[in-house]
Amino acid sequence: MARILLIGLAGDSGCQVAAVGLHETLVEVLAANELIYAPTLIDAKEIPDKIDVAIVEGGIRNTHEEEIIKEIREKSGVVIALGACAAFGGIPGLANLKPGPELMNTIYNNWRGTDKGTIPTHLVSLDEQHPIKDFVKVDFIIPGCPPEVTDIAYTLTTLLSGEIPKYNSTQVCDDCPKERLGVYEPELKRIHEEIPDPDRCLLEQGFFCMGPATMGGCGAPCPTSGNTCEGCRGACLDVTDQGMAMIDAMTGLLNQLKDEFSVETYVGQLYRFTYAESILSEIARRRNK
Amino acid sequence: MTKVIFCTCGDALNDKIDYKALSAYVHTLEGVKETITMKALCTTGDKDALVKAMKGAERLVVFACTRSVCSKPIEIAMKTAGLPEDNYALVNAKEQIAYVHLDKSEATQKAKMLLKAAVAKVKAAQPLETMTYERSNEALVVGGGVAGLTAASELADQGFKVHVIERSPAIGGAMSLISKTYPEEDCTMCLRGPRMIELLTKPGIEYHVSSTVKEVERNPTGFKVTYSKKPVELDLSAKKGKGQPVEIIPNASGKYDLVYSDGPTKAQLKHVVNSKCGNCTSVYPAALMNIMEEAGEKTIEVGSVVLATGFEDFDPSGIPKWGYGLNNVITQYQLARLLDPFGPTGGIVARPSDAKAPKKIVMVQCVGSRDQEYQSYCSKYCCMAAIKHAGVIKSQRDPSAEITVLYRDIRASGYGFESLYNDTKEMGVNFIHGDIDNVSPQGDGLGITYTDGMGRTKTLDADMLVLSTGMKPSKGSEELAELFNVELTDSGFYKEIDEKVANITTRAPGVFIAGTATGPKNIPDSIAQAGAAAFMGANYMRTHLEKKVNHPVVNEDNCGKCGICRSVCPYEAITIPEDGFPEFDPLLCQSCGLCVSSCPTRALNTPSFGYDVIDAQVEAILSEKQDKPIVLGFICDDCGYNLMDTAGFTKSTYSSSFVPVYVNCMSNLSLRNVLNGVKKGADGVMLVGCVKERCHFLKGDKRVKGQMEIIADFFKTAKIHTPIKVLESSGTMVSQFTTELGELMKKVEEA
Repeated sequence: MARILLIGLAGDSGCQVAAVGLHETLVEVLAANELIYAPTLIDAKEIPDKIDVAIVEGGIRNTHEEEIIKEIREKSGVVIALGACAAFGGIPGLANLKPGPELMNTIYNNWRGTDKGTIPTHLVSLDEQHPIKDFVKVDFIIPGCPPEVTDIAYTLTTLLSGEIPKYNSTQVCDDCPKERLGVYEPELKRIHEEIPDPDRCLLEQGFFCMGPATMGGCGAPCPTSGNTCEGCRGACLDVTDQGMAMIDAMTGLLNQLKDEFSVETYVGQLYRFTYAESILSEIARRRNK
Repeated sequence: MTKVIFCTCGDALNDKIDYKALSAYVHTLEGVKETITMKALCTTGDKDALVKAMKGAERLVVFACTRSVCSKPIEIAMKTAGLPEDNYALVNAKEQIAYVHLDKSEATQKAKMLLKAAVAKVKAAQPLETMTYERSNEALVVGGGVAGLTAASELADQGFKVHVIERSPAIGGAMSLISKTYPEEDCTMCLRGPRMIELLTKPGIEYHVSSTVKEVERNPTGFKVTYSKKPVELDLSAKKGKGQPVEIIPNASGKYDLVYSDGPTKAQLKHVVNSKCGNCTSVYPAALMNIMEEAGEKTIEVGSVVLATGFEDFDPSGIPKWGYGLNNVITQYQLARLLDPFGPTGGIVARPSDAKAPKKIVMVQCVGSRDQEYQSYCSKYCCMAAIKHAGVIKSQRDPSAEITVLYRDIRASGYGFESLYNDTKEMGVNFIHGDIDNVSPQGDGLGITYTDGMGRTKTLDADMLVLSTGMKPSKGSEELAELFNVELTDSGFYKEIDEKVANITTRAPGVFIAGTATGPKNIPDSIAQAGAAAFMGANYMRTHLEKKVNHPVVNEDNCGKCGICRSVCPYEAITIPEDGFPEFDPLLCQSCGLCVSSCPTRALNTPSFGYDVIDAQVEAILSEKQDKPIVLGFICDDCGYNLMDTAGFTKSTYSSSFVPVYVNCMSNLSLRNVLNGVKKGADGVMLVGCVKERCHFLKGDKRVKGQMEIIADFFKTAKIHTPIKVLESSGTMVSQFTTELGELMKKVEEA
């Protein structure tokens, strides 16, 4: 019986819910494993010793989480980063564009809330949101927002059988059934602005699709159902920086991009899940030190 | 093993750069085994030493001067030494270091960075293969006149298949309608008859008459030319009492009228007055083509093109001083038709108004030519045409005819021309120096007023007035020039690259020009030029091309087949087979690198300028960073390189913090390369590309602008203060560069 830990750090528990949404596989997984720690499901205070597999959701935003992840690493055989936040920083990583104190002030002083004016002090914030790999060695990443249940099942059952999981790392485009004609609309659109041709590549139609820079293996559910890929599975193949890779590709296609949207839109589209691990944020971090 | 060759430029750089320190430094670099110092590798004296120095090197770094001086000697020496010609990196120590950075230690420090980058570059770059390919060996001649036919015949003699596209229903052009040629009054009959039969039956020439060029597509092996054919239906059989038709004249309804050789009847004379050089066609049976050929569009593939579309007559209609439109005012060309035994009148000269023989004939020269209001150029052939026609009338038709030629200057330069002029004068033809002022009907003839050479107003009366109209480009040559990408002169003739040394070649490689389509000229000159054009065309087709294969290589492990490369390619060189990886057409690919920099997954790399080659240089430079800030310059290898050289030539100075990395084109530059530079410690970035719309690879200028706009916003949002600047520059805008760099350095210090 393998001892499994399931924990959520700076994230929203969605991935943990995905992890227990294994359906029939859950029976198999639970029969072969012992869920020794899962605060979302069972109340527990202390992190137990001798963890075989630690499944961690969420990134690191404060010193408390930093301590926890370090403690987990020490006590675990295998650490799995589950979901975009743990793997790349996720959506909270976009907060790295603003300095911490400014964010706290915005949230607690200038937003609707009950305790206006009281900035909590019981936790010591870090300057930025981090993926867990910034603090500890991560053995496997199950990307996505939320991750595919099949990926979670595959990882756990493969590990249980004593083997090392291998992941598909191709582009979302490789999974995408849409037809590519090689001709691009000169103007970019967001998906709510127009109804796309259901059979044709969304990027070619001018919709801001992150597929080419995003790891496939998900089966391209978003483009298939008429939505642009948001990039939740992070960079694929040799993409060093999801956002920059897409800017290079799209300026190559259309020459000019800027006038289409505001910079906030671009950042949100290009780095929705990976800003915290981008070269851009690395430069910013170093420059601002 | 990498060897580094230092050249001191005849010791001129010894006090500007510390060669000893550099030599010691490069020995510390990975892979460098040997350094050689030379005094002047560009001179023949050092040639053998250079070859010797190179031997045994796998990769070569040369630290010398500008590539415009030393790249050829290096490449020749590499070939002699048996090394692949392009597997070297050149650091321009003179114009780009010593001349622009006057402090010796600063210059030496920059030299270190550039040497390290060069060593990294040759290590990361792959040697290129050379491929040869052949051009299509079919030729196209547009225009079936004397120039076009000569070119076609010459090309066919050399074994090429030739297509002749002719707009009118028959070949022969203007020359076939002229019965006598100067200076020796040869009958063009010889050309129309036997020569035409020879040309028509010559193996290897395929004629496409009643056809016009519609579409031209250039590709590396030649041209894909689509022409459309609209045959005319004409009954060309002999008619009882009329004989064979001799001429077809297009009529107002867009069809053709047939003209038989009927003698000087009024109807025949009307045909003559309606005929105009450039639109009527001799239908001398031998020149007649298979005009019943099917209508429609066809595409042929050819390796070279000769444009010989001829001329048309200047139209003097509506200009009072020449009186064209009045009874018995005709053009020199129409007179040629009257003189032609196979022409409408059977060679009898008669007045159009009453079919009587004119007794007094006046010829006026320079009609439309040498006239700022109409055609400023001299049409060259008209003096001799008038002299010839006057002589033919005097000697063979009516010795008693009074012929007066009103001229400005007689230009009779050519073999036998002057003696023909003298002979004609001796026959009694009257040559008067003067300018025509007015023509008006007078009795049943014409009254002519002119100003003579002394400025006096004088009059002449005439039965017939002949206007020596000049040549102008034939209709449609403008469209054709656009299709083939050939320039036109101010007068609308096809323009050569250089009127002295390259007067048959055009700016479009493989397209040659001949005959009056390039400017007024006579028959011998047209034939000579056509022969030359045929030779150039043949030579062009025979020349096998060599091309360095520098198209991107696909790393299949990194390719997700998203198809972005195929879509960004400005040359349509990429295809992606179903379930396959991108494939490159080595001929179409121009190695701009746009696909490489646009590939999100970095699956593509050009051997000599790829993503990794750029990154290797960037990292090498920044690993040598000391206390001084570094501004990375990503510089276009074309204009940018020249700009850096010009800065040196003009001894301009700028901060040695600026360290260049050359890229094939701005298209080749990925933002990930730039960000990698900033991440590795660059304090500022300057991108030097070509001036707007002048990118050698079509998209580089626009692309880099788009990238920079968005990265500038991103930097602002992420509070990154590293300044990035794009400089659009030609090779000479040095002061703009130094000013912009100065401002950038200020921002670097503030940041």
